[in-house]
Amino acid sequence: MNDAADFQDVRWRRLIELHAAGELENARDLEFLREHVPDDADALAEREVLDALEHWTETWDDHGDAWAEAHDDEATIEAVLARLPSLAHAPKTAVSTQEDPVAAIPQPRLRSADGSQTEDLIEPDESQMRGRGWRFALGLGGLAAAASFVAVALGVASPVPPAVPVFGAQARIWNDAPPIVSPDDAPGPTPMTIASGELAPSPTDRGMFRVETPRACLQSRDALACFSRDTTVRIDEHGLEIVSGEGEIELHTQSYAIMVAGAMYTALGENGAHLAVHVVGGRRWDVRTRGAVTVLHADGRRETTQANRRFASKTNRKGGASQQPSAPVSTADRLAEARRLRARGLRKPALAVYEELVRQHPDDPHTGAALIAAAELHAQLGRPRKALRHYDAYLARGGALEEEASLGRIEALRALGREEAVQVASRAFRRTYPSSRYKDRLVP
Amino acid sequence: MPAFSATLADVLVPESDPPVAYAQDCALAQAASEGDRRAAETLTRRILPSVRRVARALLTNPTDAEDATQLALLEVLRAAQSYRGVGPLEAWARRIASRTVLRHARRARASKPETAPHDENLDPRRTMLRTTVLDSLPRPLEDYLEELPEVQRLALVLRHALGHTVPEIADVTNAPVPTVKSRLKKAHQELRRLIRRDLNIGVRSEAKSS
Repeated sequence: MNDAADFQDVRWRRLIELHAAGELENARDLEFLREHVPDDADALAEREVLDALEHWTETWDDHGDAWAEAHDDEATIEAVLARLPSLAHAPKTAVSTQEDPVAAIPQPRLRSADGSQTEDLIEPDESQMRGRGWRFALGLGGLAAAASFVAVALGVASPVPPAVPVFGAQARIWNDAPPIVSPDDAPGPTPMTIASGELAPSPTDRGMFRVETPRACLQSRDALACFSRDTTVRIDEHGLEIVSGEGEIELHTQSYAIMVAGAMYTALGENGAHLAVHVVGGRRWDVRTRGAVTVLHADGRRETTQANRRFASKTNRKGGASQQPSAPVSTADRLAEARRLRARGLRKPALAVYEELVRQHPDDPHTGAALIAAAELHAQLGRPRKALRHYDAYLARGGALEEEASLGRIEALRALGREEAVQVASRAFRRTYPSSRYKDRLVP
Repeated sequence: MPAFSATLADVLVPESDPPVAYAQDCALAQAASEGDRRAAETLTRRILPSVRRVARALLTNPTDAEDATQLALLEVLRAAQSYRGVGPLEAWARRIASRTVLRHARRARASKPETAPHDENLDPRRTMLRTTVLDSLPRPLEDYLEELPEVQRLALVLRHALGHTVPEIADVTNAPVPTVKSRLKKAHQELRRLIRRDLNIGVRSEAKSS
């Protein structure tokens, strides 16, 4: 490790402690913290632990989670409400959004920049509520696909309150209709606030969005895009631009474009493409592509790529930034990318990278870790058969995580209902690992 | 080419009121505080996942966590009138939940002195072993958290997993701000030591090391 890398890692450690103590306010230091990937193994591991901790609670979902499955939400809600006697005979003051979702749609208003007039921003259109178009969804990897979006009416000096309160509302934006608020979906919305921009009541969807939730996704016929907290994106009818933050985009069609730092990425061919994007303030950015992609660079150059490629900024000494296509990424880089995705709770994108590693580099030393990670993710996503296949593959090649793989294999067999195989495997596990910390997990 | 022609200067206007999103949340909270059962139910249903995560992150026993969840939900409903829409509803509820859960934990410890050894079979964290296994380390995240002293673990979880600020942590843990900062610093140092130990000497099961 060279001196410069050492210094950066030392700086990272110092800033981490300051940030944890709430004593870090310098924007450049914060940017460094977010972007720096330590060279030192200890520091890298520490970063992964902290990243995982930051997204720790987001990885808890109801599927295959013993803790969550032990609780009954409805019973909890009823028990809580029953302990509030003031609610026992309270008259219903709010309009039931279940009865008339269209009537419950609020009417945000937009004041023009000079403050001269207001106008209704949207008009509810029930016929559009089930149409195609963008739908804001929360999370990936099996989390409930529900998020709420409420337009921020910029410059509204005296906002007009909604005619009726809308509770548990979600919002949808349609490609060919103005944004509306629909309360007829599952509760639990999480806002995705518009930081600026206008939502025009026209067939065009435009606007700048900032993600306030840990993750947020947008889905349409053309693409599935998911972003981390604090990511800012600009959207119009042709595509979206990641202004700052991180995102993963699956392009389904060739007609939708992703803009990063002045360059445009589109899928080439019918199989779509995948982009992993990281942008810090527009000057420093990183785009990793998978699949056939056409890139129209900021300087007008056009190139196509069929293989995995990485495009990253190269800040020159005059302060500018230009695109610097690099060589295809190594398996170690891909594994690190998958780890970062997973640490941020982006399980499906992480799984896709792991699977690709396993498929394309079966004999690579890094594939063992990819097999275990993929098996665990499949298990978390409720796919015990695939998890079992990966655990078996790992055990066949051997490695330092054989104990964990053996336990995972037993759990996958149990999930598949193969009790006899579970018994056999459990007995073998106890013989091989008599003092294992995991022995409590085995069937007696 | 995509029509990214609008600039911030063209459309950005200073906001003079809270965003509409929070205004609606205010209306919801207000209605719940006035006894509207439907509003209370909607509010409860909405914040339940956040509150449950707080309880699960801070407590090890699922029964305690469920009790604490219900208590925290009650506290949120009772405090609904105080929600001013300054920030997201979930963040406001999370602060109340953290305070309530920790208070419940302190009372539980005070009323149930530990007379028996900790039974790992009842430790639900064991069931979560496989939820946060990191590729670069041989042990899951939860293992590292368990090795920290309780006050450091709480500070770390409140700060990094639940997103509280240092003053908020000081408030919910009834500790001075400098003490919270010290706990966070020590937690990081201990975490660093544990990680370095694992990487340098290797951590495998007792069977392999024996």
